[in-house]
Amino acid sequence: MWLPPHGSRVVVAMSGGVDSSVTAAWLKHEGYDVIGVSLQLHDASEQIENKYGTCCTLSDIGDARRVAEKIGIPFYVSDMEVEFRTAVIDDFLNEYIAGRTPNPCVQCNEKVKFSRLLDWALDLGADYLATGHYALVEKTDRFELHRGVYPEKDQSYFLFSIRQEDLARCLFPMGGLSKNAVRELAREYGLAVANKPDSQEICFVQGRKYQDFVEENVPETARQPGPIVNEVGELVGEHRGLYNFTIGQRKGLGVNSLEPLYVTEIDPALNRVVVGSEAGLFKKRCRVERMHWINGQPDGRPLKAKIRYRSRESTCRVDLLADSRCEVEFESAQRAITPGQAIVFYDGSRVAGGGWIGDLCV
Amino acid sequence: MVYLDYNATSPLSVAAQKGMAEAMEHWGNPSSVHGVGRISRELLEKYRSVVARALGASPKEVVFTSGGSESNASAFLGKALAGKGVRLLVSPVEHSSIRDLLPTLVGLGCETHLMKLLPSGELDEKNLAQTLESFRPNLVSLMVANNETGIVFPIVRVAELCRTVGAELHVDAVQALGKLPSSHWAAADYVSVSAHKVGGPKGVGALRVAAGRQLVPLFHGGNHELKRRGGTPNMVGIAGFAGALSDPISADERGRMEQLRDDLENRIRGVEGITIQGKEALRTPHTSNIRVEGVRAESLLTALDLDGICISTGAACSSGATKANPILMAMGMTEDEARECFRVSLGRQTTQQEIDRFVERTSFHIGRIRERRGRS
Repeated sequence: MWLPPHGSRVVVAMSGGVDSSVTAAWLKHEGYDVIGVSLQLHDASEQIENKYGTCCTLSDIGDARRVAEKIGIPFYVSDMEVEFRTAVIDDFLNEYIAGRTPNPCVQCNEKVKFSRLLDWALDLGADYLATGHYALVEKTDRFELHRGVYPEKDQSYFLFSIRQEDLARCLFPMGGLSKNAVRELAREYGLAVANKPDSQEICFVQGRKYQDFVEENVPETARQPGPIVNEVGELVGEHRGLYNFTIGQRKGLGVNSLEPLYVTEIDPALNRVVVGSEAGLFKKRCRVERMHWINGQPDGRPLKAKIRYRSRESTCRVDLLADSRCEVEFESAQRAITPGQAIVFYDGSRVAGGGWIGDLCV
Repeated sequence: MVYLDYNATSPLSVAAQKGMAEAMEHWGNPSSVHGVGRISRELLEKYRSVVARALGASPKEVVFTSGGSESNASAFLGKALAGKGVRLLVSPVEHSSIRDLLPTLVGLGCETHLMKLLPSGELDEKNLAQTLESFRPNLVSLMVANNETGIVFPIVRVAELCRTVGAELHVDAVQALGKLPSSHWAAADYVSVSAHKVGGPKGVGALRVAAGRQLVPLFHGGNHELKRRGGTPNMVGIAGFAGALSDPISADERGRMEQLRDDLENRIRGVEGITIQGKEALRTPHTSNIRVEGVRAESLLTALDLDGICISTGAACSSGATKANPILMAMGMTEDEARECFRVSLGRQTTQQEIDRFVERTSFHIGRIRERRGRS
C-alpha cells in the first residue's frame, strides 16, 4: 500500500462509523497532520421531522465529532446538501423513473466525495483526502486502484470512477485490514464507535422501502400504472409505476402463476414490465456507457467484471466503441444484468475501470 | 491565537468578573423581604442603574432578560400572544431571532411586512415613508447596526417617521451597544441589548421599555421586573453585565478599532477581486464584511482556523456546517456570492499584530486557492 510522507496534511472524510474513525485515528497515530470533516448531506432540521437519515445524520456527525475530539484533531462539517440532492438523490429518482436501477453510492463518490470534498480539502491546504473505504492505492509510474485485501469487505467497486489525478490525492488506509482488525484497532484507540453496526442500506432511504422514498419524491406523471406482460407479450397483470421493479425481482409482482416469475425487462418506452422464467434472466452481453479507464484503455487482455457490488467477477471480452461506450461479452451468461448498475472491470487485483450498464442487454 | 470574531462574542472583562464575584457572594433572592434578600435587591438596583446609564434610559425602563434573542422576542411576542393585533414592519436583515419569529407571529394572526434596502445595504428611507403610509404598522423593528456588515441605520429619522403614523419602534442594539453613543437609539420605544457582546457573560441581556410603553410579559408569576418578566433575576449574570458596562469602550478605543479596521481593509483590497460590503455607508467602527471573488469563504475560514485565526461567515446550521448568509442575500446577493463573504469583527483587545497576521495569512490562502483552481 502506497502512503505519502509522514507529516503530510490529510483530510479524513468522517461519517461517524468505525471505518472512517479508525482511518483518522490511525493516520494521526502514524504522524500525519490530520483534519476531520463530516458532510452534511441533508437539512438537519428537516431530518428530525422526516426521520430518514443520510450517512451523515446529526447523530452520526456527533459521533464523528466525538471521535475527532478523542484523537485530538480539528473537525469541521461541510454543507454539501445541494450537491448531494442534485447529483445523488435526483439522479436516483430519475434513474428509477427511466426504468433503471441506480447505484447512488458510486454517484456520491464520484460527484460529491472525490470531487467537491476533495476540492474542499485541497482548498484548505491539505495534500490528501482519506476515507475508510476498503480498497488500495498503489503507486508505480502511475496511480492504480486495487481491491482491498479481504474480499468480503472489498469496496473498490464503488471507486472505479476516480480520475487518475484525483487518485494521486486519495488514501484508503483500511484497505489492507479485515473488518475485525479495524474494530480491534478502534478498541485499542479507545473509540466509542468500536461496536457501532455497519450501515447496510442506501443512506437516504434508511429504515424504509426505497419504493416509498421514490413514490414520495417523484411527480405524479412518474407514477403511471401500466401493463405487466409475459415473454410472448400477453397481459398478465398491472403495475403501479416502473420504479417498483428491478431486473431479477421475484417478489411483489402481483401476478398469479404456477411457475416462479421474475422481472426480465423493464421497458420505459411502453411503460411496461416483462416477466418470465428464471432462464430468461441469463444474458451474455451488455452495452456499457460513460466508461472510465483508470490507467488508460485496456490492451486486449481478458478482464474480469462485476455487474453489481455483490456479484462475482466473471471473465469477459471488452469491445471499445465511440463516445466512452463499450460492449461486453461474458464467457458465461450472467444472471440479471441490470441497466443503471455499475459494471467494474478488474485486471487481477487492479481496477481497470468501469461504467454504467446501458439499456441494451442481450 | 488571532481572534477577529467579536460580533459573535467577546472575552469576559475583568470588570465583569469582579461584578460577578460580588453577586456570587451575596446569594439572596432580591424578591425576599428579609435582610439577606434586601442586600441582593440593593445590588440588583445598583446594576440596573449602570445598565440604564449605558442605554441612555432611566432605571425603571430596564427589564433584564436572558439575552438579545429573548429581548427581541419579548418586544413582539407578548403582544401577539395577547391578541393585540400586531402589524409589524421589519427590515429583512434583522438577526435570526427576529427573522425566524415572523412565521410564528403570522400564525398568531399578526401581519408582517418587510422594508426595502438600497443596493448599498442602506435603508431605502423614501420607500419606508411610503410603506408607513400604505401598510400602517403599529410596530416597527429595525436594528441599529447590522451584525454582518456593521451598516448603521438612521434610527433617529426612522423614529420621527414612526411617530408621524403612531407606530411604536423597536430597535435591536445588540451590535451597537458600546460601539456607538446611546443617542443612536435613544428615540426608540424598545431597545434590545446583550451582555456578552460587550465583555459581559452569556445568558443575560436587557430590553429597554420606554416610559409610557407597555410590555406584555412572556413569563408570568411574581412581581419581578415590575411585572414585565417573571422569574428570579439572573443576579450573577446581571452583575457581570453591569460590571462590563462600568468599563465602557472609550472614544479613543473606538477610534483605534476603526483605524485598525480601515488598515485591514486597505491592505486586503490590494488583493484582486475583493469587495467590502457597505464600504461607502455609515458603519460601526469594528466590523468588516469582505467578499473574495471565486473563493469560498468556508475554505478561507477553515484554512485560517488551522492557522489559529478566528473569523466568521455569520451563518451556520445546527450541525456546525457553514451556510450562505441570509442577511447578505436579503441585501441582493446570490447564494454563490454570499458564500464568498466573510466577516471580521474587532474588539478593544485587537492588536496591530493580529491585523498584520490576518492580512498576511488571508492573502496567502487566497493566492494559494486561486493558483490551484487556475491549474485544475
